[in-house]
Amino acid sequence: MALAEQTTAVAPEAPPARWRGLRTAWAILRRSRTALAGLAMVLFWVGVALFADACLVQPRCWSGDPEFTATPLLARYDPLEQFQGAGLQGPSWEHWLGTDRLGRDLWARIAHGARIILLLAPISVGIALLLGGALGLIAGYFGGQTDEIVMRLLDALMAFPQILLYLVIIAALGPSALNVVLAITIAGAPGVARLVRSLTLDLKTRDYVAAAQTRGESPWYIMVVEILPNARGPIIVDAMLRVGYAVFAIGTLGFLGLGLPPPSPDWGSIVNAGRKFIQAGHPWDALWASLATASLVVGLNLLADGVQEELERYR
Amino acid sequence: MAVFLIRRLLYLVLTLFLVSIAVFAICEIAPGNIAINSLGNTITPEQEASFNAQNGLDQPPLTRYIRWMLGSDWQARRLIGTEVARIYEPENGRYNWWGRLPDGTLYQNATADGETMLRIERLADGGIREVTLGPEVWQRNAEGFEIFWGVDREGRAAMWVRGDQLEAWTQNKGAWTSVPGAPRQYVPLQKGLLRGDPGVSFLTRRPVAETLFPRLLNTLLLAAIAFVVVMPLALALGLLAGLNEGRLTDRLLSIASLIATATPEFASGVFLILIFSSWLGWLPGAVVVTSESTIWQNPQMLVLPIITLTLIELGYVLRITRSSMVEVMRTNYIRTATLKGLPERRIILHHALRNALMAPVTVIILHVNWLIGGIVVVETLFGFPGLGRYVLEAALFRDVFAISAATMVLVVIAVITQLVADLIYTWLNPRIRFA
Repeated sequence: MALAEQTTAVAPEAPPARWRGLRTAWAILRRSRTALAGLAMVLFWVGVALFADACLVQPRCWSGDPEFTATPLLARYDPLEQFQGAGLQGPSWEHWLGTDRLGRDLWARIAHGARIILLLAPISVGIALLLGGALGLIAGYFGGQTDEIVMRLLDALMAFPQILLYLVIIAALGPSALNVVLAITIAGAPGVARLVRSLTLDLKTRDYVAAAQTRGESPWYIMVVEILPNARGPIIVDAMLRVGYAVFAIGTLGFLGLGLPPPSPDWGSIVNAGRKFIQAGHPWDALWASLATASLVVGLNLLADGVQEELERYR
Repeated sequence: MAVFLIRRLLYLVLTLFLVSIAVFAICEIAPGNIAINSLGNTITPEQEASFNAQNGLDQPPLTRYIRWMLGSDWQARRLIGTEVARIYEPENGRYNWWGRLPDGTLYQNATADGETMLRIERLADGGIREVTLGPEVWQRNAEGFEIFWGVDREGRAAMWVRGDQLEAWTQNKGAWTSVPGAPRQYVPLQKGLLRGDPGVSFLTRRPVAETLFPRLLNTLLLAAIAFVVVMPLALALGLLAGLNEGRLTDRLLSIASLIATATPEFASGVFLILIFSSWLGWLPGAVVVTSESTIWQNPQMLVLPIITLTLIELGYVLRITRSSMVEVMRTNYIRTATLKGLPERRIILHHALRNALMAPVTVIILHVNWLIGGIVVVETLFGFPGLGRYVLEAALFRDVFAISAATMVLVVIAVITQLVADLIYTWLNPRIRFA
């Protein structure tokens, strides 16, 4: 595999096993300016999300106490705090990005929105990976009737335009964080299953799989221990792209009014609430939240693209 | 080829059938009921029951699925014993259902006291004439009730029971009124989705088809223009990038296309509005439609929606074309052609182009699913009166017939374009055609 060759080329001194994965990843990233630019954009938002307030170090924040609000750090204000008589302001020293209709600080809302989107997107992709990965492994490894049935059902699901899937699911179940995750998982799982299936079809003809079969290992063991680890390269790249799509989709859902219910500061909802004021000369809500979403998706795509290019170079 | 086509068509029908069941089921399991969603949560249980009966919502799901797909007029015809017809009422500006006697007279029924049935006949000039029917119209059914099947004044097939003192609740402009002499059971008349009539919207009280098809045409117009703009541009730029692989042109085009594809439509739309409408003031930032012909009178309203829709597709198609071109230029037959000393122009036009375009052409058509998503966002952002916004509004208001009909229309479009993509691919690539 490309990953293994890379390790020997870059780190001949054979670092401790638990660091090897990270070192390999860094070695790949370092070579691609595209990937580094993407990484910087993503890390910026991760940093903002982590340190928007001091929640990480304040235990009362973790216990979910509704009385308690964490001390603002990077965000400077609480995202729900309304400043009386300071609605619809442009950027100023007081409010770096301006304020929204209710006089809430836009930078605080954007920073806390980063937290929401960076939590929901990886979670929904993670579930889609588990679900789609399992289906793909099973369909690819067993083949025959199982394959036919699983792939037919997934094809029918993929025939459904994704936006309609989101609309119908959220219209039926109502807008909430859980339903957003559910909708994105259902829409994403068939794609993962297809990829994993094709990788499995390729890998199951390898000698080490034949060896494991001869040893009498169970199909589940072979799928999880022999095939899955060897398919990880393309799956990781695909997952990075998928996190990008998920951010895209969560933003779009919020924009359409199907995201998290107010007063949640998710970026799509901020654009949705702010677009009414564009013609009235207050474009700030829509502009900042659009920029934030675009930069995060572009960052994730640059990262995935750069990594993919580097991996292909060594193939 | 014929076998392939027939099999694909069968799959298509099967897929659509599964999708229709799924759509119906999801609308069915949605929490909160239709009556409360359409009428507000202040209604009384009697009003809710009356609403459900009048709209046939008290029937079992299978009955309602069949009525939704195949219509209910043929069922009503059997129950009533005369023809029923949907005719246009010019004086009200709407379509309505009437019963039709063998001599061609159109009629509806009503009763004031549950005893005397009236037949309201429609005259040629739109006026009406009331005929009082004798007691012989009541027929005894298996349970011993004396019943009468007819068409009520709202154009629904309805069953009156002799001596009933039921009241029907209707809401008109927010005020509730109760009408005595109500039927006991209703069959709302509709032709069914397969025959082009997916029911009446609970939100607007107008037939869904009446709104849906003009909206669909608007959307197709928008999508068609975007498609015509994107295709040549994306293919040309993609080929340019692919031929200059690794050079500055390629790097710039690749990065630009990645950014264009990755930026969500709502974000790029907001940027475009801010730049071209708020800042430069060149183009209108919203589509304002006051009449049918406004779009044609002010075509500049469409520029920003089309650019927004184009950007995301442009980047995508460009990237596919580029990688396809790069791949083709590395093949052995291109190397052979180069080594043979053919001029580069000839190699590209005769040897590379056809093979390089195969992937993008099919992928573009497969990308219709994605385009539909973009259309919903763009129509919402710019206020364009198309099907995308219609389906979103239907979803937000839980307008069951509207959302199911619009969803089915969009899925049909998506599935058919996928079939077309497959056919084109098979046609372009002989290795699959003869396999």
